[in-house]
Amino acid sequence: MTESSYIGKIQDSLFHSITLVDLPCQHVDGYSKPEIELQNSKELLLDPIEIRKNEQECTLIERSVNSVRISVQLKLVDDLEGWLRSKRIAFILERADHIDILRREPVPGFDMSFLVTARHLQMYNKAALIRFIVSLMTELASANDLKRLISSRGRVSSLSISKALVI
Amino acid sequence: MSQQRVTSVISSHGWNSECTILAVCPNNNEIHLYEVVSGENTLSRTTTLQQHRQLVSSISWNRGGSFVSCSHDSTAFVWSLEGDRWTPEPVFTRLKLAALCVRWSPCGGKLAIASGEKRICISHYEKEQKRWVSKPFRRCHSSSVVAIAWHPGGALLASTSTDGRCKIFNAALPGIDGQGQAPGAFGDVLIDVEAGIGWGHAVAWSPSGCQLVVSSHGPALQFLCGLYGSSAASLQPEAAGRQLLHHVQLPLRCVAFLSETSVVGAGFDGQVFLFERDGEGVWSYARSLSPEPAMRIDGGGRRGAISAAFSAKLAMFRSPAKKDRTREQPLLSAEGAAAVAPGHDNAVVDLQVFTDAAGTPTGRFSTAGWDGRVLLWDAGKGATETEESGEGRAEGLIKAPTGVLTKHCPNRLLFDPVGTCD
Repeated sequence: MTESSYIGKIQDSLFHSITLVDLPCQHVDGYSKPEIELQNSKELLLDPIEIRKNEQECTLIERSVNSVRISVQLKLVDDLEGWLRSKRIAFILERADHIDILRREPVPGFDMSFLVTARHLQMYNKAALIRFIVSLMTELASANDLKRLISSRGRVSSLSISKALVI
Repeated sequence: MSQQRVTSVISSHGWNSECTILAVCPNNNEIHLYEVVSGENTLSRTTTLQQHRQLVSSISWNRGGSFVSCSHDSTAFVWSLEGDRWTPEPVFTRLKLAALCVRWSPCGGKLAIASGEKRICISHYEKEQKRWVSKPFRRCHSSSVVAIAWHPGGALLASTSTDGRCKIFNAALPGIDGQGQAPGAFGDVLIDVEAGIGWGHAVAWSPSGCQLVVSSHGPALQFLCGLYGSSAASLQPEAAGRQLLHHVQLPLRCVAFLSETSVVGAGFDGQVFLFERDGEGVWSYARSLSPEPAMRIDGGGRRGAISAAFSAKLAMFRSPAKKDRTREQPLLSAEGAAAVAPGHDNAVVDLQVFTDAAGTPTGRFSTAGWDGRVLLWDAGKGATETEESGEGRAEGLIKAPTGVLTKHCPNRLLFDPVGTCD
């Protein structure tokens, strides 16, 4: 699966999955919680959608009547990139309060999770929400600038060290 | 086209039978009443009613000029005008969980309240006790009941639920309707069928009571035809011809019959769709009443992007100076198209068909959506006028043109805390 068809599939399935109803809890009075997190009414859940690009990269969309949880797993090339990415994700997760739809803790086994509820649909444009999720995903997956800078900096410093050793 | 900015999100709405007063819930515990200013197509806000403690989930008017509202805090109130004040009268629902949908019976003497407690109760005014009392159905759904609809005869009630079933109940109260209006006793399930695929969203009877339509999350519509006779006693569950119609649109949150051969539905697309029945009794999708797709995901943008990239490459061969301009043009046009598109740009959550004094639909209806708009429609003509629209809250941010490339759409702005948080 190519990058563009992967992104297109994610966009399409998000567009069809994010059809949410503002349904309150069936068990507790005055309680409105995302059913996908509670998981205590089986009839309110739908089968999850898994979109897999290759062995490593995949997206899981878990659907329920009033919420959708999107979990993303990114490609891991080497340790340096993994370390850089974990720092970036930690930076973003610290600001999860401002990014409403971001789940503070990713679903186990995934790098990042989003939780979209009916309230978010009321507040934000749906197309813009999907665009935000997809662009955040693609930007995190393709952030190589810092890695290039680090390796070039390492090259320069090793060069100067070796120069100093030669002279 | 007149536009008034009133509220940002509408969770339910209801017009009175003369179409002079509009009750709107702006997604909180209040009910706002608007009166139509005669002569002009504008609304003026008259009253704010605060009696509920949580979100008002449904509003329904009767022909007598009073209306009922129910809320997620499980309360329901019948509002009637005394002098110049709207006075609430509580309905003793005996529910513990959220009330999701309330409807007056066609005769106006009974109320049906559906709840998240998986129950439906029928309320009526007890003259001796001087209050609204309720009687629940014994056996009901196994999940939240999300939509109910009264048979035009007033003795049957159709309901659909998130358990994916559609049921028709005998809702005749002997004291009000008299005996023998419907087969069986009060609360009996007369028909129990699948709502379609997945959980149900909406249910509606045809004007004569011969047909029933259920919308489900599939997305699909289930038509039950041949429920012969407007008198409920002649209902023949076995004869019910079923048709399951899959449609390509997103699920429909609300459906209604305009006549025996046409159905309108609206939902997560923000558009209103028309379904028609041909001579052989087969239902099919006819067309969208909205002039232009109101909501789309990057469809136009992607096409715009391809054409922009293509024309940019063409321009590269011609002259480098033209490159920027050719890239900008499709973006601007897409932006303009999205900005002026009439119709809803978020999910439609409520639809009400206007009827004349005899109870037959006039072909006009109104829709309310999460974009804070109430639109009036005339079947066949599309939106006739826009009565109100969303507040400036989101104009620039949320109502960002949908067909624009991500690069030019500032995603950071989407989550700018200014204005977007409550």
